Amino acid sequence: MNILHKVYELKLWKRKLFCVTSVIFFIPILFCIIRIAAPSRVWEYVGEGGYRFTEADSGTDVVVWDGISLTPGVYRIELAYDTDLDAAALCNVADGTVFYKGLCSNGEHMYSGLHRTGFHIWLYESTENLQVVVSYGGKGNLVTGDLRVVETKQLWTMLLTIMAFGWSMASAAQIFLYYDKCYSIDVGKKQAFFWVAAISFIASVPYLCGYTITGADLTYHLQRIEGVKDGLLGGQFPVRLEPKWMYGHGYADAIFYCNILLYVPALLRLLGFPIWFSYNVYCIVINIATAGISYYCFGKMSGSRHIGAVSSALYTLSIIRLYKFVSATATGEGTALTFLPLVLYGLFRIFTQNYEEKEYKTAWAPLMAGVSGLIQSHVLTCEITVAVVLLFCLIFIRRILHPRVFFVLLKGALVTLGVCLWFLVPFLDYFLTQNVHIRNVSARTIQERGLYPAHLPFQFWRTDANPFDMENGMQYSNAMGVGLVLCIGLGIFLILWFSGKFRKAEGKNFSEKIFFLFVKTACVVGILLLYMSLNIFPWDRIQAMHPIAASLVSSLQFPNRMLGWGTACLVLVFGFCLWYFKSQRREKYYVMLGCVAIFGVMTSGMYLLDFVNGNQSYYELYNEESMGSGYISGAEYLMEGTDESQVTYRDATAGPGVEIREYQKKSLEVTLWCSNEWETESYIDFPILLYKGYKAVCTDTGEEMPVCPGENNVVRVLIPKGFEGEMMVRFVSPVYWRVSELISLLTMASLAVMWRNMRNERRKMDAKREMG
Amino acid sequence: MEKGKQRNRNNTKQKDRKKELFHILCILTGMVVLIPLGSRSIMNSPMTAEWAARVEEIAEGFQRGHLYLYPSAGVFTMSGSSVNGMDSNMWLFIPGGMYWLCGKMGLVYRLYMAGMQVGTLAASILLFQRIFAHRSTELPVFFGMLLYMTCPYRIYLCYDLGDFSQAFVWMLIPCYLWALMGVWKDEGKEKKKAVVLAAVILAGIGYADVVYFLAAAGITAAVGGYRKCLWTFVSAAAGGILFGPGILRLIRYVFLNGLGELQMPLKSIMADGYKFGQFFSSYAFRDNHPGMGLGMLLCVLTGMWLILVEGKRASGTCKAFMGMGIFLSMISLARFPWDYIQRLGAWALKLVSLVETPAVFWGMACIALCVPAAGAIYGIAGHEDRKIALGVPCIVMLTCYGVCVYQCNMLMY
Repeated sequence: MNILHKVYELKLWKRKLFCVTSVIFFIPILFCIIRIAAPSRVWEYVGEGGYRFTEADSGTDVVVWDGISLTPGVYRIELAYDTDLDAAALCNVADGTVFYKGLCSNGEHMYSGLHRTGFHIWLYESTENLQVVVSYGGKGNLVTGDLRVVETKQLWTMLLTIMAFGWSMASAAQIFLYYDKCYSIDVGKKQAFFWVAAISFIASVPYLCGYTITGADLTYHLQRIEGVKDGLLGGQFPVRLEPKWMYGHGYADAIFYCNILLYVPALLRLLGFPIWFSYNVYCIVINIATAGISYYCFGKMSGSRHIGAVSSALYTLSIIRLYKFVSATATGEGTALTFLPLVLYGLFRIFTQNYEEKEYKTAWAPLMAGVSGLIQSHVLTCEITVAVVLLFCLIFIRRILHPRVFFVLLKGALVTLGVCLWFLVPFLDYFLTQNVHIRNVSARTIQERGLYPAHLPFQFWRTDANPFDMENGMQYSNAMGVGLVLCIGLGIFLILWFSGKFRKAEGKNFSEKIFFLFVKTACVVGILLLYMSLNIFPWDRIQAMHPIAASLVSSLQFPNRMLGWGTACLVLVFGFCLWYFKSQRREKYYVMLGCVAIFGVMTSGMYLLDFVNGNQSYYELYNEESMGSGYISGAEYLMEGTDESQVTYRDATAGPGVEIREYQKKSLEVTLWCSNEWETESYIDFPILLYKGYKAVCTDTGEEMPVCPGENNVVRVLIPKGFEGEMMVRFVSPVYWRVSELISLLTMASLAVMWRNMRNERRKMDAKREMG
Repeated sequence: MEKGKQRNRNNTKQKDRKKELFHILCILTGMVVLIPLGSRSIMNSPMTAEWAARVEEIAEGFQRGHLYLYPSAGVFTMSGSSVNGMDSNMWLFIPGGMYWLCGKMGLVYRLYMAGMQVGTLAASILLFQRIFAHRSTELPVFFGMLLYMTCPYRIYLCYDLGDFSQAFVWMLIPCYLWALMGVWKDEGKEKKKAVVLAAVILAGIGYADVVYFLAAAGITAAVGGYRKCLWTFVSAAAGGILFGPGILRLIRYVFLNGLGELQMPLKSIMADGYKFGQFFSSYAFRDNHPGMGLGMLLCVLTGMWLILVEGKRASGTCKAFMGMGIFLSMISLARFPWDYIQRLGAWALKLVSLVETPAVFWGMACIALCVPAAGAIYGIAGHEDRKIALGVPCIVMLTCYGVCVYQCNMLMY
């Protein structure tokens, strides 16, 4: 009897508690559905002459509209305005009559190129006196005009999601309860659930505070999430260019920085949840995934659930992960760390498992899953991963030469390629054919950003978003470490290794020998990575060797990135020490080392987590408009030569003799009517950054019009002499991109089918074994 | 026979050793929570000016032969805040008298605070001995006391906030719960004694802090109703009568628009509430919201392990305190709609404003959570695996001491 059948047999619908909870949740769900089905309302407020701001009006929250009566909901506030300065004023809403947090919005900056705001507000209580206010710095001209308040369905979609989630959780809890009573759930499974839940909960505490800790990269990653949302709303799938980024000019971030995992928060945004909530949910999901994956992988490698739990805690609450993910909000890199244990476990299986066994056929799967996850979350970590995998391959070269092992590795590589092809093809296409800024960054040196050796075993990290230790005279060092506990583990391992203890323990069994060799390799690789994170590692010399090396080293940015893999290797080494003491029946040492791990986590990882949560500044961001859309970090994906500071909201610019009418821009698609009465060919510059793939078509004839770089690398469409008609400019993915997407889809579908078949087969085998 | 005697002797020895260890650990706990008093200076806290002004006024009153049960408006003008205008001076008569006698504020502060810490230690032992009376072990009593004494919220309000009223309430509450349990469990003369004691202590709480009085009386009435125990109501009512001057003052302020001269602030308190994640902090906190601390967190996890993984059940008392703890935590959240309650009328606005911050309910929740937490440690100490049975309580104890020492150190440096 499979699980689903067993759950069905519980006959939940006949149980009173289940019925009561279902009714409690389904009544509001029904109400939400009715509200979603009802038509949206629009309120127009037309004034006489508008409000003209003068320098004397400078101040915060000048009321331009008041007495607005609204019921709870999520609304879009559209205030007409004209200004001649960018971001010199901020439009927002205020209401002193609603309860605390009953009205949530951060407002929107006003730009000379925009003539109407379009920000969202979350109103949780009816009001009779909502005010639209403008904070004006006293510079430039500003005139506000009519107001339009548009009701959206987002409050109800949001509530519907919450209720559905609540019902699912309540049902899951009841299923757990009844299932345990009827069939008695295996204690091991309960333990696994408990550990993963506890570790991920502790790691997620900062995300349960109703705000988002600000790190150096926070706005950048929030823009990525918004980019996915806006791209989906603009009709792109998969999203390749974030349409609202760079003041509506569109930015090719998604091509270079895969955003597949960001579809989760983007979906929440589409359902109406505020930015901070969507981002925090994403981080919690990643924490759960990290705790779960590391528990599974380290547990499998050590063959012990307890060691898996300790290793999972050491990894999930490791200094480098918490620093990257929580403090620096390097969300991409933090996400990539989730997949490192999978890669390590994949290598472990390929190199240590007996290839005569039937299970060996699937040894490529964890490696494939890990590398695919890495490619699709943080390309830079892949750079380091490739180096690590090559090192392992070098050590195990004799084993790789065996056809079965080689075939499994090849299979893993090919499937990974298949899964990631949808991302890799556009990525390589742009990287190789477009002169983006990232290709021209090779002069940045990183050695001075390396750590001092003393940083590595430091236990009590209290760093904030900027770890440059200027106060202590180490102004260039991007200080970070792996913590004392992992260094203790490494020390114990080295003592055991060089005192010859392992030789005795290894015995003559080949599988045990190779297991020991794998951990020794992990130890050596870990030490090497720690060395590479130091400022004594000759990064500068390597950079000077060759342009490709220079580019690769420069792209690394910080040597402390090595600590991610370093931590993964050292956690494996620590887990191995525990395993060794356990297998050698050295109970005292086993318990002592376990206690060291627990205290280490409590006084290092949890200490840093508390410090960051208690002291680092934070944002309470609701609507995307408040963030602005101009921040692009190092401008890595702009076309070389583009002046970032010149990009702002504006309309299309017509060349000499060109007349534009009926101009409409939705997402990255522009339609207009134009004519060229100039003696020669002229042009129109669109407020869209030019990347490969933009096409201009005359909608009347279907004829394609030439597109070339305009001023500051925007899309310029050449208008032939005497042209008159409607035209459309939009981004069209090349056919080979679409083919790559199809291949990825087919690969993933085949994987799902294969996994299902294997599971069925295993079940049948288990059933046979039970019968036997 | 001889063997039996020997065994008995061994058991007695073992028990003696346990008691000895218990006493040593109690002294250690007392020493740990007294760390901030190790310096000669008075900690500069938001409420230092107020209690110093109160103590000075009381001492002055003693000199003139006048007893100030409630501070004058001048005290609040001097301290710059009249938030605690409803709290009486009753328990400050002791430091007031001491200041009158010796004239050294620093010494008075240290002696009074030390006295309160020792009193709290004794009171918490008394409470947990009663709660875990049916268990022949010092273990849950010790852990209950340890969690209570090292509770980060308690340390915060004693030293960081410098709130003498609340610090005193934290000493009285275990006594009150101890007396209340007597009301429910004892019979005959003992019961009557317990009723009287509960009433007196409840009034004492009222004289220290009116918000705690209202919360304690409310919870007592609710529990009395649930248990259908008339004596509970009798003790609460008697406590109310004994706290007569305070009640009258409260009525005057809330319903009769009196005490305008104190200019007690009216404000929305929702924004000062806890955010869910803030419950779980240990080393650092923001917005004056200390969390439960590592020790309590470990106890909560242990309790969940016992229930979810090992399938054990919590005792009725633990469940009741857990429920109370969860309820109080919920009302301490920033999301709890206090603003709605304040709209019920001017009286509600004033009453809720008196609370000043919903964080006080988190303090009360911590008190309640100490019971199931100690129960969880008692449960895990009986685990069949000796490593776990010994290891978990040891880790909890060390983390409680560690975090408390850390918190005290951070206050001093």
